[in-house]
Amino acid sequence: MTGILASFSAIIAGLGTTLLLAVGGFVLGAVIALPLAWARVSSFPALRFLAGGYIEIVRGIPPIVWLFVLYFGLTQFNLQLTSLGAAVLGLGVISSGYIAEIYRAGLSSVPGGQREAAQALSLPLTSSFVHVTAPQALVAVIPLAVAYFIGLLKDSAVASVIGAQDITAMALALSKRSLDGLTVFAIAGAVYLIISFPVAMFGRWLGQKAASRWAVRV
Amino acid sequence: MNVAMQQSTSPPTAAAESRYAAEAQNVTVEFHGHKAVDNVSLGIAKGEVCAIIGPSGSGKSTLLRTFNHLQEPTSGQILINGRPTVPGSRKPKPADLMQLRRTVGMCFQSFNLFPHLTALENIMLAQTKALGRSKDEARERGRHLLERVGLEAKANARPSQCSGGQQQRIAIARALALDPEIMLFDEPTSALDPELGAEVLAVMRELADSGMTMLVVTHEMNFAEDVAEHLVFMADGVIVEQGDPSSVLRSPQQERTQKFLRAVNGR
Amino acid sequence: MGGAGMNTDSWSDLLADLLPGLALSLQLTAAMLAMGLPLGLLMAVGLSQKRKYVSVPTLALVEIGRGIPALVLLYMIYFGLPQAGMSLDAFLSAAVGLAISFASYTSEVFRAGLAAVPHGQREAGHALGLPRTVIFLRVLLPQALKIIVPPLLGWAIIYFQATSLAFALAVPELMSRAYVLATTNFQYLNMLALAAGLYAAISIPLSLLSEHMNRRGSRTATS
Repeated sequence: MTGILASFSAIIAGLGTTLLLAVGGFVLGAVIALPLAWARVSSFPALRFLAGGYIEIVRGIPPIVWLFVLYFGLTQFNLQLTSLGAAVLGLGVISSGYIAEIYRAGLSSVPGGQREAAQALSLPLTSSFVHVTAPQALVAVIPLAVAYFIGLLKDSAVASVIGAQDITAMALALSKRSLDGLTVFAIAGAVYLIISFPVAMFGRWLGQKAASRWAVRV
Repeated sequence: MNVAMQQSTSPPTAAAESRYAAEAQNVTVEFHGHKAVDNVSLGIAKGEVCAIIGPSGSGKSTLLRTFNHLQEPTSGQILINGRPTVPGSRKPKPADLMQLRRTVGMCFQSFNLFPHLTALENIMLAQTKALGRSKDEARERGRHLLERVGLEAKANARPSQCSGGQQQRIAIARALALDPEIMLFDEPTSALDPELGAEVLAVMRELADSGMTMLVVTHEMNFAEDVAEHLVFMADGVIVEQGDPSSVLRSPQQERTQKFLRAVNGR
Repeated sequence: MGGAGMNTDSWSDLLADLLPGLALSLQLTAAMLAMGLPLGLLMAVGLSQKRKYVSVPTLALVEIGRGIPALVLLYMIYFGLPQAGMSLDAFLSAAVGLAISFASYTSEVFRAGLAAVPHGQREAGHALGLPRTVIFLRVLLPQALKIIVPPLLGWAIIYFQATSLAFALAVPELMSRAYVLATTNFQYLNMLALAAGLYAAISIPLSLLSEHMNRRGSRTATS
């Protein structure tokens, strides 16, 4: 029992890094995704094609390969990122592709009549977006974004492979010392499960709050 | 009724400028090679209520939507108070469009109220963001308009808390808040059952009595006969027949019109 | 790109070096699917049982399979099972770990697909006196497949990419091979970009196919 507690506290030492990876990657991705989603729904075919191509490539290459390209590959240009920096950047690039599609889904969930009504009322484009389209799109975006963030929390485990000291890295190191891999990784798995739970709860609360604030049927 | 008769016989001239509040000149709208509206000319006099009837797919809604350029005409032009909406060049500038849409208000078949805003906020939004009115002024005006459509009690209700008829009346108030000179109505009662439709028609009747220039695509023959001064029957993208509502409805000259009216009257 | 001033092998040589790795990645994907697809279907059946003592433990299993990172599952099986007296080699550990993760995610796809088959189909099967397994395999499943296949293809693509996690167990698949070769020829970016290109060359056409099927599916569903 004390062994399990000791293992738990050793593994939990990586929690901060795991959260940093997931939050950092998500925020970076959410920001990059903004112009990307805009280009994806643009009326210029060339922009749509470029954004679509970027998204396909980002999603067509495994996360671990992205992290290796950024961590090892860039050394070919004498550019050495820290493992944490490369991991956050890599997760940010990957999540930008997915989050852009989430934004797009949110935008397309807003009926065309809403934009038409805004036009008919001579609303300027920015007001139309800020006051009409965006709040309604957000109601659709929140649950998808929260689900993606929970996925990213787990995907961030690959960062341990390039040396980030996250939950998985702590568990791997401990398993090599303690010889009880099963317990150690079961604890690590449980930690991931446990931290996903409040995020899911928060997401549900946020989604309901947005839906009721904006009284849109979802 | 004279207006309509003259319009159908004489081509638009410079003198017509002052008479028509809104006018379509040789407007054609093509979708993928199909002409939804085919070289249609139509003038609406100041203060006139013009109703457009016709079977679905006749191009009546498409024609209506060219008047505020929600639908860009493939060729031809729209004139508001005698001035083309797109001066010179073919492609309208955003500023021109915004100016146009302040002059020409519109109500939709499906209301298109903003579901995340209250009734009052719906009416205030364009006043503050497009006209630059202060919030207080917009609120004042909004309350006044809600009173006018009989819904002051619903000021803080969301659209989802209002009946369809109430939503359409809020939508009318929302459009009126920009002080338009012309109002477009795209089948405003088609999504409503007759009882709720009646309360919307009552508001529209009151609006017509106040002298508003109105272009109304509708299936309500009674409204067309009682309120409109000018009735247009469209089919297959062209105006088949137009004139005084009672005479078009009671003694249609064209076979296509007769066939449509027989179907509508269920005989 | 890259390799400026360096004595580089030609791209085709590098590519030839990587191909055995790609072959192993595809084998790993096949092994993962061979276990993961039946397991996902089984979980879906378990989830849709009315008997709580079947559906609740299945749900717990699914939630655990989805809640734990695939990499941690791989480690758990590879480093953990020997203590339980079971030992799988690296390839099999990776295949089993990925299959559990894949099945947990796809169980919901199977369940939703089966639930979409109209109830009358099952009743018609019973009315004809067909055995339950025949009703399931010959009546319900073929109809559900139309709904199931496009999202399943999407998941298969994601898990083809996830075979790269087997790098962590030193399975010499595409990712490992690219990295190991890079440590000898120091062309990190070239090797990794080439591996990335191979992953993308397989993933992207398939994901476009999946999207195409999805769109066609939703069109026929509404018409």
